[in-house]
Amino acid sequence: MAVALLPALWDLALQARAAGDSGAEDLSRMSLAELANVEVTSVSKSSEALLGAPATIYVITHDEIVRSGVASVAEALRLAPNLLVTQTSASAYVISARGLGGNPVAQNFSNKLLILIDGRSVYTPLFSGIYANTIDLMLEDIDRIEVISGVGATLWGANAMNGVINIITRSSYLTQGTLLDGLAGNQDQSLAARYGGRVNEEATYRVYGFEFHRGAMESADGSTAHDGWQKGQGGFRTDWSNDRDSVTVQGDLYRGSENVPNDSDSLVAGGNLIARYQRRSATSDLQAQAYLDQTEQFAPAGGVGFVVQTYDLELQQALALGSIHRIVWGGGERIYDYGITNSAALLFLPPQRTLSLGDVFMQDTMTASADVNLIVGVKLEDDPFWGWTPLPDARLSVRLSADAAAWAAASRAIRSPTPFDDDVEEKLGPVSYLVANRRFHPEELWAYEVGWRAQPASTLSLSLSSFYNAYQDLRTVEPASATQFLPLYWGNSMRGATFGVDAWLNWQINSWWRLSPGVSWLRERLEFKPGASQLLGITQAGDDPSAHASLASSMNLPRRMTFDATLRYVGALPDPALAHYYELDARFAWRPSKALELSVSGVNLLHERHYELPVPFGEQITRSVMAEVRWRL
Amino acid sequence: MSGAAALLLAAGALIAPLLATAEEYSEDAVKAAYLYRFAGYVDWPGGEHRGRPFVIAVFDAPDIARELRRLVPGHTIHDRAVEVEEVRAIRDLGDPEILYVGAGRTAALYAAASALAPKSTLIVSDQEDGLSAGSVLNFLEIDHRVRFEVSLGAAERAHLRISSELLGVAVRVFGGHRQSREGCESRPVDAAGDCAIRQARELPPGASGGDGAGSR
Repeated sequence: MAVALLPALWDLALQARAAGDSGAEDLSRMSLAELANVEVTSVSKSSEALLGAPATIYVITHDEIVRSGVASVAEALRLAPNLLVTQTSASAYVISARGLGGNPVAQNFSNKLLILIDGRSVYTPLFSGIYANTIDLMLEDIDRIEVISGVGATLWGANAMNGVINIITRSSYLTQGTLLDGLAGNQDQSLAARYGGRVNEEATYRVYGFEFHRGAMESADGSTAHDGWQKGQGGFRTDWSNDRDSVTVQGDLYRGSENVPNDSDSLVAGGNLIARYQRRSATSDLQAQAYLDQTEQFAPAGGVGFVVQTYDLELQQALALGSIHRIVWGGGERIYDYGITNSAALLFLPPQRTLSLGDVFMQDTMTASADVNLIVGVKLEDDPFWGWTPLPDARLSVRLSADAAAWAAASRAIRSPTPFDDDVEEKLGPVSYLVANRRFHPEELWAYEVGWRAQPASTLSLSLSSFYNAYQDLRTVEPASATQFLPLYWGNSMRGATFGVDAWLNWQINSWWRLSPGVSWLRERLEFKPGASQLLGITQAGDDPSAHASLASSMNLPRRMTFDATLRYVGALPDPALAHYYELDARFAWRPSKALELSVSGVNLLHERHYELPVPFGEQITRSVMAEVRWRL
Repeated sequence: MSGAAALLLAAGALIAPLLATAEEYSEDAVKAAYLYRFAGYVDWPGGEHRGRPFVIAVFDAPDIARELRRLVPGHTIHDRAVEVEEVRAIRDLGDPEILYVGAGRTAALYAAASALAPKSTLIVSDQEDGLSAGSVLNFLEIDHRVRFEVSLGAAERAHLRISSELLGVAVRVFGGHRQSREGCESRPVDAAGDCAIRQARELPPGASGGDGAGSR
């Protein structure tokens, strides 16, 4: 039936296009003030800026996020076709790119992504994973999310092995005035407020606060999983800028609690303060950033948990040397100070440490000709538990024509040992069945990528990239020795390759309808090294589907209504096994006036409940529908 | 329910074209209209232009060039005929009155700013931090509207005088020098723009552009 609709839709679309192409005459008669008031339908422009970029980058725009109907940053990440986001409970999500997303059976977590919010690293140093309950933001304040798949080590930072997620919030001068947002649905309820003001011509600020409650998911038998949670967060941002310099200071504070079956709530809380200075000129661009971050999570009644404090200072300068070289160099130092309250079954010994992570890097972009750029860089990273490691990166970008470019890259990245790899001891009663060995090697990756981007028409842009990732020293579980089984330890006895393709296109069918299909395809050829125990099997590196795909439709309807929907497909998980599934998020919105927006949206609409990770590692994710009012005063 | 959801999606897709009455403008058309309008609020130095057309050069933005070409016939700027020139390489830039650099062409923007430094060209950029690359005006999109910001320092360097009415519609104006809190009278007279900031009304993005921008 859907297929039969397409020709009819196409005809109607063509007619609508023919009718909708005038307007130049009216606009030429408008004054400046009137032009400033005209509402425009905008085409996604991000592809233009990215045409020559030598990496796989998908930019989730502010509009995409706000129109999609998602209610959290983790769900917004699904809008990137090169990311796989798997929800396992009301507050927990597993985020991965290019496979190796971890396997809970082996206590292996998705640990190969660097995620930044305004330059602040938010993956946890304890095991390099992401706690999705610490990355909430007011979605309206997000300017864009850049998702870079592949190695991002040189420029971006530690842990950027399979990708970088760079969440950037809007400068406060773009978020002026008062905004109130209320959302209520069968599962989620929230209230948010934000006020932006101006101090003088050069300085602006905003303050915000929100509180949300997310309902529980369901267990296997359909009863509630009792994992509902709530969180309150507030923060501010101030921006000062003149022609040359800009300073931003921002901070957030949050506190949340999650229900635990048969127990009191568990706690998540934290706060951060970031200061950033930038000085730009035609030849040089200097950035300095410092931040403090504290995050803690504790089980009910102040039991097991951790506190991590982060202190970070980074400097970076981009310089043009002559007309051929553009150098970016810099360095940084980060201190992690943590304290863990151990449980009887899982202990970190020692439970407190101060880790130091330093780096210095340089990258040179050489303009070989008008159409060819060669980028060579290296980062020297000083990791806790391991010491100095070089991470080289070489990229070539070739402009094939005015609307097409190709690129190739080769780079090295590591996942350095974390306290979970080096310090952990796991017990069953009095027996230590796993004791981490301090000789854990970093996991190593040599990544080779090629890609092609084109914009054959102003209404169509495409991106295609392929990668071959050669991994060494992936984490495995090994017995103590040939003669003694326990205690187990973390070994580095897996290696191999993964390869695949990330592709997407953005098709502005006519002035009011945009379609964006995307697909990610992956093959894994991992193997154990000779002498490995092969305990827990090859899939311990990642319970990864071989493909996932999405189709996003975005429509600007008349009378200031919009309708957006994203259909996604996730392939079958190998082991632990889970069947493939389709799901749909959709949102219908109406702006009766410039100040008010009313919307109805749904997440996970296709099934009343479905698994994204099988029992017992994931709960059943239930359908969520909600209504939202957004009011700008 | 999955059937219903699919039906909802299909229904939305079907109904929309039936209802579509094109009353919204494309971003490119609005930007083209701005480029044409800006000219009326800017004074270029010197007076020996009679006979020569007023050139709006467009770098790597065929859609904007197309919209400009549709909009321009029959209109004049400062009593001169208007010509739209599409430029493919910075070295091919002559001496346009206005140059628009397509979004994302950062390297070209820097190159254009330095190539046009001795001339009086109103460079209009279309990207984040465009002004720091040397443009005089930079487009921004805020809440479904095309707005712009102004660098008076760049305007001064290009010997362009910008009317206070244009500054009044801008979202942000960066001064040629630090602004003091005194009135215009106490400052030495130089570029018209300096004092105009005092008089300009800053519009919060998202508020209706019609208010406070002066009568039009």
